[in-house]
Amino acid sequence: MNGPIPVIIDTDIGVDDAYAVMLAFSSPVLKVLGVTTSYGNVSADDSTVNAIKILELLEKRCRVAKGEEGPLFGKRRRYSSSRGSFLHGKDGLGNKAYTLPSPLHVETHEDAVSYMAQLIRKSDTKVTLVALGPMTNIALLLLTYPELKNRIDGIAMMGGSAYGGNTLPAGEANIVADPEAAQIVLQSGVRIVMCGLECTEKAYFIKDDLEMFRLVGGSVGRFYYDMTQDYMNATEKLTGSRRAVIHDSVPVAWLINPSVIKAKPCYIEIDLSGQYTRACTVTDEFCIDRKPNAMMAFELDRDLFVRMHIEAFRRYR
Amino acid sequence: MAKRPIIIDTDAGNGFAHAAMLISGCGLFDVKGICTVSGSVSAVQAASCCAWLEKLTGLEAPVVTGSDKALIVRRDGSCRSDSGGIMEKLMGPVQVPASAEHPWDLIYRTAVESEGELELFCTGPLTNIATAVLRHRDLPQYIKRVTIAAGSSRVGDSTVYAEFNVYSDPHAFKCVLDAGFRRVDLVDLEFARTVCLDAQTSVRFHDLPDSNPWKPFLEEADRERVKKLGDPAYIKREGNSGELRLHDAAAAFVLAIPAAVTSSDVYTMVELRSEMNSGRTLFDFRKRFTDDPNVKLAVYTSREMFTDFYMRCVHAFDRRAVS
Repeated sequence: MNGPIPVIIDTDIGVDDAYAVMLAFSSPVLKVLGVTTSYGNVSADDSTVNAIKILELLEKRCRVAKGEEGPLFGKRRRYSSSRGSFLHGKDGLGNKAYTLPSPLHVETHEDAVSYMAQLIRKSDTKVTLVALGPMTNIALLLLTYPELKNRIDGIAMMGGSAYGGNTLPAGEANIVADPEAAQIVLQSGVRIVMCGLECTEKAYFIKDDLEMFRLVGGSVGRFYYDMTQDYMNATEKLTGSRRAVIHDSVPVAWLINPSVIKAKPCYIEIDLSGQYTRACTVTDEFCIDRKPNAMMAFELDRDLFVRMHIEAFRRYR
Repeated sequence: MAKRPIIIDTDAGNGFAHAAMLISGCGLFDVKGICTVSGSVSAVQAASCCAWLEKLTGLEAPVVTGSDKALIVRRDGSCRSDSGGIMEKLMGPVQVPASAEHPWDLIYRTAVESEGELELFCTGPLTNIATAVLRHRDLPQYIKRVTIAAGSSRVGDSTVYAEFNVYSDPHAFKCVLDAGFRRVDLVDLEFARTVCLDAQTSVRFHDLPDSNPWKPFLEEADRERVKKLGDPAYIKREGNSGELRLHDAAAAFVLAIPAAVTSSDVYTMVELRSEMNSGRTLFDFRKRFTDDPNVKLAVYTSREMFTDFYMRCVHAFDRRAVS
């Protein structure tokens, strides 16, 4: 392919999303056309402010459009996850958002879905969507602009899990937040790479990695180091391991260097009716009597993943 | 050492024959009864298989035909490919003496008589056990331990995630989990995938002395194993290592030597409502629910230890003739 890959990042920006955004903007392989936000780790409002703050920290000029405030179905209330605030801090950025200056520019007046449609239409080449939060914005995009499907090259998503969730025994947080949206996306026929927990839980940083980011990344590295401390503490309380699991960087890392993950074709659909299994990404990895509809990442080269982030931080120095 | 009293509840597929051989061959158990349930084969057919297995093992426990349909769900036909084919091929016509008792009454009466020492070993859908619990609410207090070959923590064998015994009667499985048994050992498919006989061991069945009454069955089991390697769907799901996967036998090993098994105490649920996940077992490994653990899920044992146990039990029959 000639030239960088045009991408739109759709995020409910918390700590690991912030790493994904940093990684994406650092890479010459990607051209980030825009950032859209949604509820999830924090509310859509906080998510939007966080995205703008992070872009200003990174000194990147890119428009941010606020998206949906809750899932497609059910009560349309403002939503943010209590588990999200436990892990990501009340502000979504490890309780360190206050250390960043208030945004100099405000969000665009367009909503996220219209903004994505506009960017896709304008792009010379097909656009890849990077889905880091609940899939509400992207499902609405596919429902309301069906003519743009063939202008989308694929969707690299963080979400789901084949064999056990994190929010629920069978449910991963981004899918639990809006299972119907995820089902619409999976059934859309658009090429999908699902980076689920089997893979993303291997995408972790330890203390030494964070020290390295602080060392090589200047003010950006220092902020990320600080931002990750509470996240690491919370993860340790939940899992017993002192690690910062950076789920959301995985789809971005894959776009930059596909060899960072191993993936296999699967048939994936969302359970929408279960008592315990609602929001489970039912993943048939054998596809004996049906055609795959997605690639599922199941393995990650952690050394390469860490090196990619060190390299990214160096670029911000 | 006194033998441990047990009642076996089974749908008597081919896999169960291996388990029956281990239970008899290890000499640890006093089998008080064998109850059959519809699953791999019908409850009546399972009773015939069990009567034939009693001849091979020398067991003399009553064989009682049990439930022929699940508590609530109705599944279309059997989902399992490894039904009782090998036994049907070898056994010929078998008479099953009529029993005056239903399985649920036999289980309860024996449990009371055994003064809290009775164990249940279940290798089929749990319809009989659930019926016993529903009929005799105080049954759990008389049962020392229930060992169940069922469920899956990863890939299923009936749907993407559901294992056959739970899929066949998920309500019965839930009923047993909720009953308050003192100890429930669950042996899921994932455990059975790691505890199996390698191809070299299985080939050794052909070298057994002709005096061993199990030789024809085991030789046939080995031929079936090789035949499966020609099935692309099987290879895709289970790999091509040529191992002999024995879910029920793995459960018999857990029953016989619990100290050799690492278990995880975990709250376990079964999905009843979902269209695509009905019969799936869910394990709350991350403790997202506040419920106390209700099963001991077998997670690891040494494959060498299992193989050694299995072969010792096989050779226990070397000098026994079919009665």
